[in-house]
Amino acid sequence: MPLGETDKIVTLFAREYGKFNIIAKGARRTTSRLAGATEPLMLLKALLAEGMNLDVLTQCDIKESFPAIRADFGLYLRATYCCELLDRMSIERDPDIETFDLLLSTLYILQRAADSDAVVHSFELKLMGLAGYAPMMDACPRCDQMFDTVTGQDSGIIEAAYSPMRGGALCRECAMATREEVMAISPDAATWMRRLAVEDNARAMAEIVLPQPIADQLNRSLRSHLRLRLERDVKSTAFLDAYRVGAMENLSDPLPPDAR
Amino acid sequence: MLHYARPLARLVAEFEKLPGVGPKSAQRLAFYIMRLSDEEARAFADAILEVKAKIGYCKVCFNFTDQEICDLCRDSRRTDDLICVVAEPRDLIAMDKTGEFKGKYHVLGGVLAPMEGIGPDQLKIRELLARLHAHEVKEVILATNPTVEGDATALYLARLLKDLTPRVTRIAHGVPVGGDLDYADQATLIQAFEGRREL
Repeated sequence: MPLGETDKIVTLFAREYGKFNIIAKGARRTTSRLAGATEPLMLLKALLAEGMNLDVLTQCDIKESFPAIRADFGLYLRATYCCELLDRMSIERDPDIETFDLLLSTLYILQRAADSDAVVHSFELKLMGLAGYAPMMDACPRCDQMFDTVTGQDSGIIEAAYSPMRGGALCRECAMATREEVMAISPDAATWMRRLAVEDNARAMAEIVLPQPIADQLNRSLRSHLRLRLERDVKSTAFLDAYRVGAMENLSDPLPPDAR
Repeated sequence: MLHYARPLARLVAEFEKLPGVGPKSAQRLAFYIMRLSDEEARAFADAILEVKAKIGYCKVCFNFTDQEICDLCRDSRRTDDLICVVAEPRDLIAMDKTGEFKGKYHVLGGVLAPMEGIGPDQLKIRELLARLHAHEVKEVILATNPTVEGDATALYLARLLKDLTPRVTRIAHGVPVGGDLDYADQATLIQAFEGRREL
């Protein structure tokens, strides 16, 4: 956020201190040593001076600038979405080392991921887990019967639908019995959701490719789940969704000259 | 209790709405206005009213203008073959001050900022496409700021425009004049290397 002629207010997310705003003096000058460092998606080692209201950034060393994300519009949208989601779910000055490490590893993995949406869904699930909003996927949240996650559909209870309101997958009986809003989810999609929520091997994560129908189901379920927990939309969601379906590039029908 | 007389408090409050002006600066500006003669104060107020009444957007490039089509777009010495795309009218002024560019401009009215809800529909992108459909343009130069959001906007536009014009280019960026290599980030240095040229 610009401040005065050449300063700007920047939101930092620090491993030891959590989220907070600082002033970067002169950072909007092209020759400023802070200009590049105070751009979004930068990993910094920063030295701050305590200020009256906001701390002032005095020195910083850029540790990582994620050039592959900056060079790819799709990755940029996904990284921006992850940052905004974290911003919405975190409170100021609340140190959260696990969340910091999660965001950092997500940005690194995004740069070499075979399927960047799988990485984003994994981030959503892990972030919700850390915040205590993880979707309940091992038992039906209505009847509490455990799902048969080992043998699949051959025996036991299976996942038939996802209920954002109850925050988990419903068994077939509960899905039929309840009138609340539910969305179809296959046992395969539920299995992927469970895996993405716990996958902590970066190489394995980067190699995951979600089949399109599974990706669609996860996107739909997690979007509704998050909207109910956050009680508002994440602004960058609309652009990410539009980009995923190619709508952002569907401007080929320009306005007629007389409508401009 | 009011610290100022009501009209003065109103003026201070109005100044406080300006970008980068805090309570102290607003008070200083308001007290300065108090010291102006009636004619000077009227000229100041008239200038604000006139700019609001007469300045609008050029129908072609969306720069600020007091006419339907701005001077730059009407200038026949400028070629229609080149369009330089900038984010804001002030960027157009900075680019044109160099005197190096002899083509036309297009002002987007901002850059894509997903976290602030600014997408293609909030910018003059459809209007840029309409210009390219209406006239053959040999090159579109993307001159958005070398920030993360400016770069993302350029990447997006490059994909969108590639079938509409033979050449889409991006202004060079890397280490700034007067800059310091020691303080440059990886992305800047990578771009500086990619944009190197023979001496």
